[in-house]
Amino acid sequence: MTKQPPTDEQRLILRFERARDEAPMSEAEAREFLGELGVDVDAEFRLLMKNVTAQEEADRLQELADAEAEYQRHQVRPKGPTHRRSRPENQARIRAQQARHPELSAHHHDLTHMSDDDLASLADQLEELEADAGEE
Amino acid sequence: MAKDPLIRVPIAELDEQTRQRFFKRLESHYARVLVEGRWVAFTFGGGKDDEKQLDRRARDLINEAVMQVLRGRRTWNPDVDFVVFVKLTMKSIASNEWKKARRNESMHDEAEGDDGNRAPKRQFAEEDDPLQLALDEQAAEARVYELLEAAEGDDVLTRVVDAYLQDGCEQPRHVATRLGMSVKDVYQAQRKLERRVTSMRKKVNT
Repeated sequence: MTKQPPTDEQRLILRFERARDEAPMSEAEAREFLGELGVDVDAEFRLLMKNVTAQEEADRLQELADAEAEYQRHQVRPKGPTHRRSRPENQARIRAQQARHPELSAHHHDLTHMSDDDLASLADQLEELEADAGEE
Repeated sequence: MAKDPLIRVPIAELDEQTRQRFFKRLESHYARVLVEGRWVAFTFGGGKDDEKQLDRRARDLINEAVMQVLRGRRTWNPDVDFVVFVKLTMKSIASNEWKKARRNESMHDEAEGDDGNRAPKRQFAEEDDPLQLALDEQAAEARVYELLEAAEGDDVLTRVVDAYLQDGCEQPRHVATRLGMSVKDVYQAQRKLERRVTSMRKKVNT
């Protein structure tokens, strides 16, 4: 759409609007003005607060529902077996990964004193890291 | 007195004292907030809404503005004039809705001129001021007619409206200089015009 200069009428309204911001009504003037229109300011405020309270309660319930749904999703998520591999298998897998990525050896050079769980966990983590690096 | 720090986290997560302060200010300025809400609703509604629709629309805008603050989607700076803050928030909401509603409109919308010929609607593109986007040629003409009608019979008001049409009269101080009035008198004239315009609309719609 091509940008066009404003018409005289558009210019007047824009000027009037901007000037209006410079000369706001006082609260008393605004109350009087609304009173003439039949608007009860205090009743309007009570109505707003009622709606806001209801929406905040709805937000709160929604947050609880979301958290509950997330928890349920977590509960039913299939868990892999803790010991997918035997201890020698895990050690072999980690050694192989260390051979491909020598920088890993500095942190995990001694695999003999690690528990079975830690070995399995380390093997899983290294697999994930390798997979992530592959994706990048 | 030390200034309040800029609040950048959702008020809903703040202490009860800050939350109460927000609502206290809202309550003490609520008449002005309502007036501004009606004005924003009118401006972005293209002047087509009747009084009941305007009331409802203003309520919705205020409600949405407050909820955006409570949900942390708007940052409330207690140092900024409260009504200006709420008004800008409402303008932004109304402008976004206006843009969404027109997203699927044809880029080649036409309007019929006085001569009966059809020409592309004159609208502004790529402007920062959302009002400029919403103010098409026909809406502006209708509003100027409304202003002139509201000023009728009052010499000062007529002169103020005429002055705003003149080159170089962009701000109240320019109008004041041109007409030999004080800026305060120009402000007063504008508020009087606004009240008259609103009264006229009420009469038309009842």
